Amino acid sequence: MSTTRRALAVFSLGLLAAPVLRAQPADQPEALVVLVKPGDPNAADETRAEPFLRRLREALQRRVPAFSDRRVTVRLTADPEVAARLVAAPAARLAIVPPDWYLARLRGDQPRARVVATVPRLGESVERYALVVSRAEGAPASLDALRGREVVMQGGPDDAYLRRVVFQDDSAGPGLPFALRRTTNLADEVFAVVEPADGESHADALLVDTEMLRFLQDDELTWPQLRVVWTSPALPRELVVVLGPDQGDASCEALRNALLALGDDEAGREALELMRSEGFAAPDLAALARVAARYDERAERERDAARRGGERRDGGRDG
Amino acid sequence: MPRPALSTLPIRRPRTLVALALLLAVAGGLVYATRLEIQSGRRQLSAPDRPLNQRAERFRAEFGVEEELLLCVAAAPPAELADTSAGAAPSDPVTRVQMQDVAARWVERLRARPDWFPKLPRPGGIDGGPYALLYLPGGAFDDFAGALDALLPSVAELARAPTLAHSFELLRGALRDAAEPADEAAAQRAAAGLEALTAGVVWLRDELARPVEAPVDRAALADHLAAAVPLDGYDPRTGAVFVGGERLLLLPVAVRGTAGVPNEYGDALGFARAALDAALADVSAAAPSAAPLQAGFAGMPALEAEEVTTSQADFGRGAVIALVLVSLLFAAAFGSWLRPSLAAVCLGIAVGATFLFAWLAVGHLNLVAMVFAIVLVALGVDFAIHFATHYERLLHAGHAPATAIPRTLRRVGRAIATGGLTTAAAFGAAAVTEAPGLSELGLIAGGGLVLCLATMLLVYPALLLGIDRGARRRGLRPLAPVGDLPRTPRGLRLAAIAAVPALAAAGFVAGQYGFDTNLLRLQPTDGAAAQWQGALVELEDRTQFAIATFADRAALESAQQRFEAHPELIASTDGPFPRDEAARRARLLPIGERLAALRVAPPAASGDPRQLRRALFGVRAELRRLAAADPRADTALAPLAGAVDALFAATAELDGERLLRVETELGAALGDALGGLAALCRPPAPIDPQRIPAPLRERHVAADGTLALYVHPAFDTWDGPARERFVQAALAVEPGLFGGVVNLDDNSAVMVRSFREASLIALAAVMLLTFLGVRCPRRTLLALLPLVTSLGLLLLLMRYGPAAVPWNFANFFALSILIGIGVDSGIHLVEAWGQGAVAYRSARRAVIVSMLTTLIGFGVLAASAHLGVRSLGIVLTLGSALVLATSLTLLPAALAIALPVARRSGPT
Repeated sequence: MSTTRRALAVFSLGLLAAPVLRAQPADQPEALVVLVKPGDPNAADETRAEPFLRRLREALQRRVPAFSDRRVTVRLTADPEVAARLVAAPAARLAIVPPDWYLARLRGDQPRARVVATVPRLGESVERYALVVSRAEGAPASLDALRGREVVMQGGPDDAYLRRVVFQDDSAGPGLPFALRRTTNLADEVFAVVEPADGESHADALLVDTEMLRFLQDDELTWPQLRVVWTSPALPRELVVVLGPDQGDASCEALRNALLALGDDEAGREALELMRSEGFAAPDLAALARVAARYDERAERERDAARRGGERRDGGRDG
Repeated sequence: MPRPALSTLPIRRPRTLVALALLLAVAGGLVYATRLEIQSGRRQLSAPDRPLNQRAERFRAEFGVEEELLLCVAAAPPAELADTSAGAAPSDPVTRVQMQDVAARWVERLRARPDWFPKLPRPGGIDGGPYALLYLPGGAFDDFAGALDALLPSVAELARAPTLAHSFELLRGALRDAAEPADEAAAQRAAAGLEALTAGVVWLRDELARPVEAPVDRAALADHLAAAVPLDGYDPRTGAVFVGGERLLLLPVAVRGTAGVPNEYGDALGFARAALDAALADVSAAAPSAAPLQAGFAGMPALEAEEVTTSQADFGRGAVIALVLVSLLFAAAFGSWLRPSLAAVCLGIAVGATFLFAWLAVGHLNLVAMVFAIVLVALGVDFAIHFATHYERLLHAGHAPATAIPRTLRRVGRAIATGGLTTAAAFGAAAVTEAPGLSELGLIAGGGLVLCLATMLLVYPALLLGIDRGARRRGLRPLAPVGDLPRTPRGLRLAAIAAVPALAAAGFVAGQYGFDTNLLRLQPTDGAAAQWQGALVELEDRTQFAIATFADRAALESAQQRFEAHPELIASTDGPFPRDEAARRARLLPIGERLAALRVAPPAASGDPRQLRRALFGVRAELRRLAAADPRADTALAPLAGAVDALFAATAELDGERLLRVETELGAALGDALGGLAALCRPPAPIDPQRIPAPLRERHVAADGTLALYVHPAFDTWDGPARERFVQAALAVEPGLFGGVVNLDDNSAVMVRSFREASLIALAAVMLLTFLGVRCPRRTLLALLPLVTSLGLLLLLMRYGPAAVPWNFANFFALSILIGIGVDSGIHLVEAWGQGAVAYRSARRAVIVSMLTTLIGFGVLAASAHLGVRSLGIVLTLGSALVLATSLTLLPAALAIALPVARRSGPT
């Protein structure tokens, strides 16, 4: 090739490369962080949560080395389907999900997720659910007394998780031991329990998580009229999972360390404060594994029971 | 039998003279105490027959306009406010609320004195009338319209079912949707809303707790809810507004002075200051962690009161010091305390008699004429010094008092009389000028000088006779021995003759003729009012204005547009009509129509306490959720949360009938409010000037419908040349402009012109009278030499000296005093020159003592805090020193040349 041609080739390559080189600062790759809060009315509108999302974004951008060359975006959703789409997006790198959602959707390969941290709140590193009832005479006094009665819950894990993990009721069938009614207005339900009106139906108990229980207990006007009749065993809290292609040990360790040190950053501290958390913590993977095993075992049993039920119906029709 | 000479009158009728003089003085004192009117206002200094002044008086009568005191409140001292170079940030919303609170509390305290403060905002706040929304300041209008827009859906929902339960359900929904305030302004609005809401909840708790049959206090609730929509930059309680980038809060308040006292506004300002200090203390106690606010007064009443207080203090202090020092000098010069004491008694008699003269001739004393007492003391004591000097010499020579007195009168009486009458004429010349302030001073001071002259020539000798009759044998202080006439060193003589007149001529050609009409430059250096006024000058000086009146709105707005086409000339215009009326009506109309279409549903058949409790429980839950989610929200919501908790607890045993009654009243109140708001959003057109908000109506609309437009200059017009430039340009835009800056410019021009006319007439009168007194052209010129040369040198030093001083309204009458002093010295020395060395030395000594007393008296004023009094002291001290210097150097040199025969004359 003559000298002139080489020069032209190099020049052409340079021309081709220039747009790419110039474009890189503007097309900085995204690191998507997804916060999943199914059924939480406060998570339904990202605009209201903007101050928190902004602080979390700033903290992650500054403190996580893996995000230094990326543009961090933080999304919050209460819609499970939207959440599923977001965590499956190519740009997704991190997600904070409830354990029920993790067990149901993130243990396969699509998408692949690896737990690196958990989110303690109010000084509690584990989650416990409680059944709260009225202190009035005649109110249910135990879980057994609530069988067949109505329990109301705002947000919280899905029925499958409640059934398989929270209540761990081996004797029950596929359903929960009581009729669970989901609500978006727990305050009205609490009022109805505390001040029942003649002729007006109300729930027999409230199923609450640790945070909500603390909320009720802090209400000096209301709590004296309520009490806890059952508490679940210790369960995992929200899980921080790594998404995307880079899930090696070193990367995850670095990411975990960065998350654990997020409180050192002012924006991070403010974000944690808004989360009512003292900071991220290392996950108890053994406990998570036990819960997952329980979840899977109960799921298998439910499938077997469903299969047997189906065979009996078919046999009945045939026979 | 020949008639007895006038010179023997003091020895023939001493008691009669003294008794008559004391009678006149007592009569004068009584007149001063009971009948003599003291005109302490600046308006009385202006020529009443000037067309602009007449027009201004008619305007004041038609519009009932009063002088305005400006309350200024800021977070920084006025000196910092005035420094606009750093681009300071506006005050934060919390501080602005505190500033408005100071103003509101101050106004409440002023209500105790309606005689001084007749036009305060009414206790319930400013009644905006049917056009209230059209007149809100810009930011406040946007806030209000925006709030109405935002609240309409909730209001409509509430109107559909106006129960308390529904109200709190709506509140719960609002709390659920609440977002963190985007900026400080939004945070302040949210805080105001929470505060109003909390007050409303507390009101509700109290109302629900009352007996069933108790009436519902809707007015209190209306007051609480009115505060829910803070109007940025505007306080409806007082009408105070923010200027200077929201750094300074201004509130103009009409103030009336106390007529007939020297400090017309002194008492009212003192009361206002005490009220302001109390208001500041209240606000500081309510927010102890906040930085302290700064507050003070500006405007002409504040400046005048401060000026009078300071100048009175300066004059008073100066008078005491001067009296002590002059008495010491007098005593040292004459070896007796009685001589100065008797001179002081005679001065007092002269001042008292002058009060009587003033009452008979003028009937009152204005601010300028009041300084006649200074003139009499400064010049009258010279008469006594000259008389006493010659009298002492004769006593020393062995004459008895009864013979020394007539001889003294014959020897120096004519010179004293000539000097006194020429000085009186110098002042009297001002009586023919146009400016009442100057003409009345001239007449009273001139008459007073004649009375003082008569007192010193008749009463003083009678008193001396009384004390010296038995003191002759005690022996008096000997004077310098008689000898040849004093020799002036030749070198000094030549230098004086060559240089001094040349310098004086240069002074007349290129000296200080400039007149500074800037009243701010006369104020006390550390005066609070002057400092706040200085800050206003830099930020937005609304005390500088001009007025034009019109018969109808079209003419007024046409003029307004013409003025606003000159932003280099006019900073702003104030008229009775909103500038953006069409745009505001367009914004408000759809809101008003939506409001008018709302119908409040009738009350339910019965009150349902449980529904209310359910709704309150939900609100409590939302508040607690917000508080738990954000510690800052916890702090902000704590008062409301506490009030809701208390209401929830109070409703545990709520009577349904009481609840129904309260809900019924609230439903009616809602209906009334919606109707009222709808009307405000659709105000009648066109605007009826008689129904615009009261403060604007009182300022801009006369009883006969005449409309007033105020224009504010775009630059500082306190300075004379700038003010003149503004007036010329503004009159070209609107020839009918008057008042404020326009009148100040006209009256200043009249005063300056009168001053110049009076000075020229005085000089001419002095020259004529001197000639008539000494009866010789050459001796006349010689007698005038110290006066003329010292004047020329004074003009030169006032312009080019180390402390260049222009003429101003405080020091201009110093010229008349210097004319009197200068001619007096020259006449005595020239007269004495022809009488031999002893007489000359005696006259020279009298001139020295006389000039030293003058220097002491006016030198004290040169250290005053009041800049005007200080400049007066500087000019008089400088001028007196120059008269003394030229009298002792140039005059003897000229006398030696012009009247050499007199040098070889022996004692006569």
